[in-house]
Amino acid sequence: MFRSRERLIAEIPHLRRYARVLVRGEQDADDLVQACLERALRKFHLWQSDRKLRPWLFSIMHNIHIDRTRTFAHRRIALSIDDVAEPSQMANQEDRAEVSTVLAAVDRLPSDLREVLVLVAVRELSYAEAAETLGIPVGTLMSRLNRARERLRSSLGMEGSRPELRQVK
Amino acid sequence: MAGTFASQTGPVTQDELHAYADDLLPVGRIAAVETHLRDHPADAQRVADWRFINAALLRHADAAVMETSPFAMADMLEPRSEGRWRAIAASALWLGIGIGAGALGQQLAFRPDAAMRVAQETQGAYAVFSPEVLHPVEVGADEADHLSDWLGKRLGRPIPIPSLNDLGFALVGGRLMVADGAPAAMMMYENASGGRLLLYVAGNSDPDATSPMTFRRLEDSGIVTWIRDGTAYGVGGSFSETELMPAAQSIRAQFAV
Repeated sequence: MFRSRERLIAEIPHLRRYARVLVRGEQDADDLVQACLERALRKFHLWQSDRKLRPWLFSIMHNIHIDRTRTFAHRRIALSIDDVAEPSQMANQEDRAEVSTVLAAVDRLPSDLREVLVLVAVRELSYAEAAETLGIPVGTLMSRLNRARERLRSSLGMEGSRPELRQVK
Repeated sequence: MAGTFASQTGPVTQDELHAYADDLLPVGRIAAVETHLRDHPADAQRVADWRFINAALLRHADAAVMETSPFAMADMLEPRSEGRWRAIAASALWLGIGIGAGALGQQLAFRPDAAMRVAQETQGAYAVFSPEVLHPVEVGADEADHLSDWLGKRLGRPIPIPSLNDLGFALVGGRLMVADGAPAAMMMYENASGGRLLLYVAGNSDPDATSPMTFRRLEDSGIVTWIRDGTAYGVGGSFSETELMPAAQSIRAQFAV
């Protein structure tokens, strides 16, 4: 049990990375991590140690996020524009602008596509683990990933533009 | 999963293009996908765009770990509300891990993840050595075999000297460095216009550690890092992602042989 708790703490940085792409705003992201840790502690006896810890924790966080999003929708709480896309403190202006633009486009995706894209993008899990986290088959994950990325290319004006300039050598 | 990526031959699938962009493609298929991308510019463009989107999300996620004060991190383990369950849960955690938790929390905040540390080491080495005119390296390109033997012996693992001639970078040479009190290797390359590219290699304490290829910008440098089988790699220079990534891919392939 002692080692299990140590392992839980070691997962915090990874949970924080995931939280930051799931919700906008540092405070909301940290609240989500805290809620996830609390629920994980309560349910620790349910965790089977033959399963990897990270996908289990990520699925808890995902479920909390879904619950909260639903609650917010019912209460019709409007997000202020400041909450929508707030890039973190970054080295330079160019980075911030780039990140803001992408985050805003990601936030306009339908939720089933958005949840797949952000989970894959943080690079914490394999495709199989990501599918397990979201409770969907791998095939579904891959097709949603493709749709999410193609929609983003279109909404970010990438389709058909600069065909030669940004090509991978 | 098996059905999606099991094939080691045959035409490249769309799923494999995604896996390539996410650095989740089995090593055995990298060459096939890269050939496909050379022959299909539209697919190459798609993959480059996907990587661009990934990089933006990654920078946002990584900033979360970099910027937080250690106290905020440790606080996360304390109860905020009056909720009985929360208080019980939090005290159980505190009992379990003892008062060392605060210190551990701080450690975690100060030591992001291994990949970020490699990126920082690479950036540091680039900042120190790339402007050096007189002695950028200890062992020059004319002694590449000796360099490989020497670095390999000190790091306790094979250190081939990758060739980047196809990409327009000639080897300048290399040197032994120190990282976390252990030996690390640095190799320097230069293109025709004098732009320098640096390869940094270090042993990682965890022999099973792996981490996908990731592009970051630190200071004015672009850095690609990855960790494979306990060895950490960083490729850095004043280049864009599209310029650095092919060099990093080539280096990764040459180390895999």
